Amino acid sequence: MIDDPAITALLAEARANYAVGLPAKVDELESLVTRGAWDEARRAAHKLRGSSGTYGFAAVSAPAAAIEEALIDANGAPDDSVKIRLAELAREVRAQAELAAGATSP
Amino acid sequence: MLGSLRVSHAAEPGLEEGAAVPLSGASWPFLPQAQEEAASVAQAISRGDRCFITSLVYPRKVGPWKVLVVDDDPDIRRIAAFSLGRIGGFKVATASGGDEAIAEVQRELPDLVLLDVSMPGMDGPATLVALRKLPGAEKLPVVFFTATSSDAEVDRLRSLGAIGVLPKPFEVSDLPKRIRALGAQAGLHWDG
Repeated sequence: MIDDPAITALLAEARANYAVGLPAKVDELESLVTRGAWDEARRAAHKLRGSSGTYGFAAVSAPAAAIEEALIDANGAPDDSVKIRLAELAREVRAQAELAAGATSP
Repeated sequence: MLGSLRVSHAAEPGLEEGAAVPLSGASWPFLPQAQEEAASVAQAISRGDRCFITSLVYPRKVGPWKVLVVDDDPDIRRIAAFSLGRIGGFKVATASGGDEAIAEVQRELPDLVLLDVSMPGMDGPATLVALRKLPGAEKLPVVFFTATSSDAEVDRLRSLGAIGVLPKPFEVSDLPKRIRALGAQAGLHWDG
């Protein structure tokens, strides 16, 4: 709980800035999965899980965590569930980014 | 950095002697180590006789703790620095990996390091080992933060010498309190 309105405003700004960069992160993750770069994809999902949750985007963090775990369990090429989760993640991320962009537009 | 103490000899209770206590950068503000140093000075003053420390004055550390945040993810560095600096009132430095962390610690010793576990190249545990080899950083308090929160992994990280393990994602408003609590448990004196 933050009582200082100035800090709350700065935090909201940091969240909005982060949201603007979210689609690019998902694009990168999709590209890694498409190329079969599983280790890099796992790392990208891991980072997205940690950063999105910390910035307050739990709805992004949860599917990112699911993708990371599926890639760990598969220890290589995963089954189709990863692609399904990735599609879910992409939809969620784009929705969040649009919301954040709307919140920051004048 | 010097503190001062006075020692009373057990055999001659009226005899008191005083001395400045050399507190190394490694021990201060890490109180248990500072007290060990004070005890060894007291032994030297009393020339090995039984003695009691009758007063011990530590210099007050000026300003808040300096925390070094080490993470390869710039988004995490940014939000952790915001949380610790703007909300918590800490001094904050950041490093994007193990090599930068080592350079930063050599440049100015922080009071505590918040260290990501999973980083490309030199990961968190390898960075901790490297930091421990630096002069003055042998007992530097280190807190790992990681998205992996299994009990076995937390135990493994603690066994490497970390004073705590924090989960990632973390609550931005809560991080300063958690760092302060872990530092206090480890004997760091908060004067922020």
